[in-house]
Amino acid sequence: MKRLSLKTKKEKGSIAHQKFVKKEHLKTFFVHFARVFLLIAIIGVWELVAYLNIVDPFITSSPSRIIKQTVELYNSGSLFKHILTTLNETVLAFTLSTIIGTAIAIILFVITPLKRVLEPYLIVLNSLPKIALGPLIIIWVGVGTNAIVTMGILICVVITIINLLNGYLSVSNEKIMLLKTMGANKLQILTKLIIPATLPNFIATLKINLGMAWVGVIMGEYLSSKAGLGYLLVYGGQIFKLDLVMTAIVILCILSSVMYGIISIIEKIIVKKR
Amino acid sequence: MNALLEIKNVSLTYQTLKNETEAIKNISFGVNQGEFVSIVGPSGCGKTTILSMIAGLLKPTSGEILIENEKVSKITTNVGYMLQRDNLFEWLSVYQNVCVGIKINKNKNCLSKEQLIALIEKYGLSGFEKSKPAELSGGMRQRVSLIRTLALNPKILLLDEPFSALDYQTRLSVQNDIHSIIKSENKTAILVTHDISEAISMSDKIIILTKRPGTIKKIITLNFEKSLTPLERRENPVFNEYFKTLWEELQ
Repeated sequence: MKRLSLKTKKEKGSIAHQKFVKKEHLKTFFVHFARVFLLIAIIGVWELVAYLNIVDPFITSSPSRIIKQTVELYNSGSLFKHILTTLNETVLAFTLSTIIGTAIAIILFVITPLKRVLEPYLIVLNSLPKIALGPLIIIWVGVGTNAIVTMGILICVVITIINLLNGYLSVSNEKIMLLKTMGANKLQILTKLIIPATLPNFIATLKINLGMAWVGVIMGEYLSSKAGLGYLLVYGGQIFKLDLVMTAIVILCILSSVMYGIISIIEKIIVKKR
Repeated sequence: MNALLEIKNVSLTYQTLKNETEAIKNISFGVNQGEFVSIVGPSGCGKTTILSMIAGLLKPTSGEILIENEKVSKITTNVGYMLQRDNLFEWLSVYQNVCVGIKINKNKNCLSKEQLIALIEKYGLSGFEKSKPAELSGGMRQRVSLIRTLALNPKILLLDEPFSALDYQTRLSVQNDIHSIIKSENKTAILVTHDISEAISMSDKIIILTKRPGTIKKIITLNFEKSLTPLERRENPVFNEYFKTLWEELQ
């Protein structure tokens, strides 16, 4: 709707149309306004009830306390250490699981018997709560970054494989047959048809993966960590410093939105290039 | 002179876990260079199976298929296959779509870039080279699909109900277009259809198959004046007679 109204704006139509366009613009504006207003209202009410002691800011924290806490972390020099630790682990888990997952999905697609053999294993792995593997991970790969990234990968990789494979299998048989009649081999079918045809699915998988990578990394940091936002969450909870917990949550919100935004930009570039 | 394509006593039985189905039984016919042959018959009589065997996608259970006296044993670019849907790749431009087969075959025995551009121009697609398939009409899409098939310079074109997904109006004009392209490029074509009038308006020869297992019931040679287009044939009084004959044969 938005794009439509922008396009028609250039060539002014009848008065009725101009009215319609104006109305649509107004609607869009209202939605944006309501979004910003809601955020301000939440922050305002939160601050107010904490300030007036209607709720105990010790339990709920408050926006001003969060800012104070952030500044405190910054001054102690640990703010960016925690952010970078978690960010680093997330990017690593996300990238590795995407690469590994894509490679496995392609192998399973090309070698059909292998896919048939491994299908039940994939299903079991997918439904298994990966946190249950926590103790094993720590013993096998050691505590710290290794364990955290491994947890992230485990959470992402199975869903990546399943999503991508389903995408590959959904490409129409007719198109595959067409390429075969042109003399294409399996690799050519993959590179000329399957992968470009499922690019939108790949990007959707990236988006899911990113969310899962955050889940995995924070879960990993719960298991064992010396730094990171997950560490701050656990630590803050243990010493009952909810300002710290809230601060970590807010920073997580911002970071994950930024990374989602980056993927959306990549998506736009890829789709344009196609 | 031997025919370009020879089908000799070909039978095919499909195997599934539950049972086996005899799709084609003892079929023989020949197609000469430049001939346009249609195969009609009740649904499920194995029309598409015949095309798949000529293309090398399926191996006959018995009998053999020869193209220029050479047995068909694998998929080659001797044969170009056009399917019911145009199957254009939505993410590629018209020109890139036309080039798909050429890229796969790394330019061996294909048309040159100049020849391709000439085809695109000749068949009313110039100016659309950079468009995406979604921007084209159904008829234009089928023309792109045909040029993509012609790009590999096939000796035989297989057309598997390529018009059935189009609305009636478009179908008539696309039949005209495709027919004139095939004739002017002097290509040999085999068309599978369930539309009797389509078969009469386009072909030189019609092969009628029986119900499954498909055998040849009758082969009818059509005697229209060479220069008539499919639309002009439809206006010719002989058209109705052929229609009647075919209709009765198919009952």
